Amino acid sequence: MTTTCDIERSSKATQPVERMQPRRTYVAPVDIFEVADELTLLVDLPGARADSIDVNYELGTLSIHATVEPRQNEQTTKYLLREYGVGDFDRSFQVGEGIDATHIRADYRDGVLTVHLPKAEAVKPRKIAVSGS
Amino acid sequence: MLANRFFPLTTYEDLRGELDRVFDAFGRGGRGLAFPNMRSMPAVNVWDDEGHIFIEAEVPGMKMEDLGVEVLGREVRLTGSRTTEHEHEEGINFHRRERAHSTFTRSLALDTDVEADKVKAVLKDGVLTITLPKAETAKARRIEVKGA
Repeated sequence: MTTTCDIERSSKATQPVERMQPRRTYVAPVDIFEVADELTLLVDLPGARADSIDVNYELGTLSIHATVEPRQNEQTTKYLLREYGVGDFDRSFQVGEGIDATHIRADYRDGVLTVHLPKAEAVKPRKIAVSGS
Repeated sequence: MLANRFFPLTTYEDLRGELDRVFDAFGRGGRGLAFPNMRSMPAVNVWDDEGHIFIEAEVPGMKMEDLGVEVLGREVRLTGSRTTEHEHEEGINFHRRERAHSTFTRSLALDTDVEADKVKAVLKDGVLTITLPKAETAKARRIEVKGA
């Protein structure tokens, strides 16, 4: 647990901090499903750009951070109805060590980030043949 | 437009009722630790300027053909459906399901007449932005004050 906190702190330290408007960070909704050879995450990140999304896998933790610029000037816009704010997204998961980190793929389309985490050979389900006498 | 125009709550009464129900169900509206229930509506932001009303909705995972935007008088109706990917695949195990997976219909009642045939809708990266030009009669007009 301590290790996870360290990772988060160091990644934040490398980001530029100078901001004119306070930037909010939101929790992105996620679907996670598993098939025999892969773990897949689907993350809703509307309004982000592929180059502003950071996906990191380190020591069994997958962390996703997307920087999203406000789409309107929030100080001067006259909102008639405001149900959501526009801001950064953040999410981390403990996915364990059984992932083949060199083959992780992520793509972003239509506001959804898909992260494919192939399982390492050692953890794939294996059918064991039973020999009888 | 008067700088201190107040939000006409009576016109949006239906909407407030819906919003109150969402807030009650999750303790807190909007994002943060509670996810708005997308079953009955995507969250929308609405704002205006001199000549237009803007409606923005976050609809990640939707393509233009999954969405419908209709303008009838002062009512704007948003419809959409997102089919669940991977729902019926064999040997698939879901660990977590937080994203919305269903159809929605949402109606918004505007307080201004708009030009229905000039409405534009743009979808980019899961954000739908609808621009509705206000009808000429609805735009504020500066009246010149002439001295005697």
